[in-house]
Amino acid sequence: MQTTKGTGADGREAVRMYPNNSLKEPVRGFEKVAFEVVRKSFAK
Amino acid sequence: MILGGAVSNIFRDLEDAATFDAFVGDYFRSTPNELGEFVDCTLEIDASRLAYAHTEYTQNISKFALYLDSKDPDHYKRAGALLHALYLSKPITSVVFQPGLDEVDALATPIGVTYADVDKELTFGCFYRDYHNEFTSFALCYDLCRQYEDSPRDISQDYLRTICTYLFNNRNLSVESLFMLFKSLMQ
Repeated sequence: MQTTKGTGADGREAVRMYPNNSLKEPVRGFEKVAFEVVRKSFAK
Repeated sequence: MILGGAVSNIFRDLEDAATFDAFVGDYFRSTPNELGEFVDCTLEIDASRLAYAHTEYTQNISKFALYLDSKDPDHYKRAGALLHALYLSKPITSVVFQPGLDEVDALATPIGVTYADVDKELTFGCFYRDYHNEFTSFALCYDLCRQYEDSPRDISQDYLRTICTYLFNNRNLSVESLFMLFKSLMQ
């Protein structure tokens, strides 16, 4: 029986892969930037 | 976090339960000190919810791995995975303001807004009262995601508020939608 590549037996499409982006090494240290946004946005 | 002159790969380290509990727990517990200028408060953080968040984080990573030949999700997916885990677990179970929030409001108005013009919804005290879990969770994931970017995108207070409202009002967000949030934000 001929089947369509990428189609499962239930008729649904098979899983598609995301672009193969894997975890790289970080390029900077950890900084609490979001808190800084708060400090800059609000003032006494 | 810098260890021995090299930046540790924190998203990978967070797969370890003890590291997750220490790092994420410390970040959440640091909030009163970081925001002391605007809100004087004490938090209660539930250890079992942090443990649940770790379980969700590792499961989310495993789900993404199914869709990747590398089996090693990138930092956008891991930021989405972590935010989704914290969005579900809500580690902060109580916030107590000292003194009462009414006095905090009077001390934390946005720049350019006079006290007479203050709308309560604009004050940080009310914002934090309503969105402490959403704000802290997104702040952590954004700060972590930035570590992997050569030219990270800055965010505004308006963006923070929008994200917190989005997380609060939508109770069925998928981990993939939160992954897309970080990928779209940073690129």
